[in-house]
Amino acid sequence: MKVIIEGDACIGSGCCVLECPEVFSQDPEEGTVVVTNATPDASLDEAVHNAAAACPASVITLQED
Amino acid sequence: MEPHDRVVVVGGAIAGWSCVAELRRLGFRGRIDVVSREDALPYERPPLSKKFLTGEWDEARLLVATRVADDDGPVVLHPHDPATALDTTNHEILLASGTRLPYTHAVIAAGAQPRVPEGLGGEGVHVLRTREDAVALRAAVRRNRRLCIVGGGFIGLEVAASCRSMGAAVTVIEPYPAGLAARVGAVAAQRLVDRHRSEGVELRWHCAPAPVGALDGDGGLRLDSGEVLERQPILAATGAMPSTGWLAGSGLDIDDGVQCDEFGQAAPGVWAAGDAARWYHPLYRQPLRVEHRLNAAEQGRLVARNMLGAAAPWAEIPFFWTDQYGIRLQVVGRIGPEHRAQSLEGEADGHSFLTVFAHESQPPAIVAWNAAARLTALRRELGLVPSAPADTVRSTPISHARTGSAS
Repeated sequence: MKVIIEGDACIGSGCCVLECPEVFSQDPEEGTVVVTNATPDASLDEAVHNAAAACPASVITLQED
Repeated sequence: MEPHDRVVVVGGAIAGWSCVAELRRLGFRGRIDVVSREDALPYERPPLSKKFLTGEWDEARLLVATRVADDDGPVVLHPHDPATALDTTNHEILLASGTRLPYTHAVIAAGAQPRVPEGLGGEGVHVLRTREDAVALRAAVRRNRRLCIVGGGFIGLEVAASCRSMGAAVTVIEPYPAGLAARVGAVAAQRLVDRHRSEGVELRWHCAPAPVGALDGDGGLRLDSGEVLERQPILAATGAMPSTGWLAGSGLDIDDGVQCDEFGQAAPGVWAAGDAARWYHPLYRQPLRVEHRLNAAEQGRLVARNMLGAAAPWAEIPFFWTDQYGIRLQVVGRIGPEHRAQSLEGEADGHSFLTVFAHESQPPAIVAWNAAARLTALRRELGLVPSAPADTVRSTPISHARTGSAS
């Protein structure tokens, strides 16, 4: 699965980091999302799906392989 | 759930579609109906007072992917056909067109609608809930280069900031200005107010529209003092009420939202999620209706899981944000009357700060001013994080804040 961030709509909620810190982190200044692992292991599927579904700005897109 | 079960979701926005997507992700392949008074497809509302209002974003940027594929099962949309009744005896939802939708499970995700004071209802008074509202408001602001906003809550203040960036003059009328400090703490409230003033917004605090005849005559808005403002477009940003009028006669317990237990269930086979729902919250030990964007997706997903037998109680800490003049202000938790400001990171008058508000037996609240990354780290330190699906209800409240005194 590939994790893609759409545009610059992130509002810095940190939801994605809380759901899946292995894949998401936040820019220390702006608080906007940084994807640290765009092709996470399948064991993180549930957490990554939760992060995408939780995002309050709908910026996370998941591309199934 | 059985494959021939039918789910009817009333509301085609974030809460409703979060439920639909989660049902499909968890393997339900039966028929789902999505009923909507709009076009039945989800879009983001927060930008309506911000980048969409200013025109920086077009409509395409508001759209949200449904995350549902056609071959995962039938999803039938009913756009511009609002639900008019819920029949719990025959397990049917009635629509304005006359269509009757049988359900095994009904999800009430009907959202909220603007609550406009009686004296302000009428021609020329804008509200801001839908895309169409925002398009009309934008046109009015561009044409008139002036706007009078009744209501100094988050929508009112966000629109005020957007108007200033559009080069329009703006007046904000607010009868109860202390409400802002109750939501974000005194320091952040004062800084917001100061920023609006320095940006040229005219804040008329402790003012209200006249209770009678506010829009009479040829002038603009008449205030309770008798003063009549210059004629200009008016935005009623005076709060929202849950869209539950259609449920009168359903037998459901409706009191500022559909009353639900901690699993989001209102009655056998009937669930509610989002702005229209009032759930029992085990950590605050009271029913809460949370009118924030994040909650819509959380509750929509939780209803899907519980409909499928998860029995996962609501345990999420509310979260909201407001963006004004490039300031990112975020609040985790609820600052209640017994919460006390306990600790401060950063300078209260600096670029970035956080305050923790502690409570004896409820979760703490945190206000973060331009401190989004630090807020997330602090949430992890304090355990104010989303519950994993396997979690059961926490038996002790989260009250030990490592930044401060003992709980």
